[in-house]
Amino acid sequence: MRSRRQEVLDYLLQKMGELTQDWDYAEPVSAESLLFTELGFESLDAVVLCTAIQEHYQTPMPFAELLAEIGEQQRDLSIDELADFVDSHLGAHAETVGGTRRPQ
Amino acid sequence: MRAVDKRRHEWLMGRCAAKEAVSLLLEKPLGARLPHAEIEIVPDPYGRPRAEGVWSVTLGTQPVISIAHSHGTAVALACLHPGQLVGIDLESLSHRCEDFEAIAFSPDERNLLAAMPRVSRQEWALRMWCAKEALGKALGRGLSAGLLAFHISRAEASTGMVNLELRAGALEHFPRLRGQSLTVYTARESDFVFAAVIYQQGAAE
Repeated sequence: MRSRRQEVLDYLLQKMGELTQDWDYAEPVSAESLLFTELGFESLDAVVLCTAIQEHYQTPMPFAELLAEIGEQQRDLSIDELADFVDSHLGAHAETVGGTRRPQ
Repeated sequence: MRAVDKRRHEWLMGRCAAKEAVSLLLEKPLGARLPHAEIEIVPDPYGRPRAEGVWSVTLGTQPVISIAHSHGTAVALACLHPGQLVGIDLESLSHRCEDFEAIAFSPDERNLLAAMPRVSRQEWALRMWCAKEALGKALGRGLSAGLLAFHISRAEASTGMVNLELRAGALEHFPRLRGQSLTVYTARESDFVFAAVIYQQGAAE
């Protein structure tokens, strides 16, 4: 049985593949891929991805704070790191509501 | 083209747009157009670009610049007075508003958007996004203060003007801007929207 973290990573890789499929400049997507420097994301692309994740899991997550943090630190964000972020907030949300919502 | 090549390409286009803007700006005071090679673009301590060259000694100024690029198009804004803060942003109309508004905008901002004519809602979502980015660039912080630290209080469809106020995350850096309404000009050009702001620096410190 896949762990929730692995499920999140698989979903992110699939979503990234969808988002970048018609980008003629996108690199092959892997867990280590960096959104901005390797995949050519612009800031609005990152917000689009975060919105899709939030809708998929139907769970509000502090993406605005995450994007602010990486902006403040002027660093990039890997898909692996994003999976950690989503997984930790899904865990926290499940504890708060006393159960895990199934993704759409 | 690989993503790295795309970034380099857009970076180069942005530099060309910025040098062209500076050359046009300096045509009157210098009495001639400067070749791009004589315009050097350097970052200030906040990372905001400014132009310099041997001519900056003659003119006694280093024009301030803002650069934006998106989907293979670049734009730049230049101002002669180094005391001015400038910001510009550009986005392609290919983005759908429902794909980003839930995270990009507060409930109040989404209400403003909902009041826009239905036919131009996508365009206005992008104008509002660009307005935040342009102001963030002008203040030298980008959107690192947080997506909701630049709060849109008014958006006027007839003029394209968007008014913003600073909230927590940005106010700490610019306490003198508390309660001030900052105006950003937005417009649509072909398949792109852009936003631009010019602000007098003294008021922002």
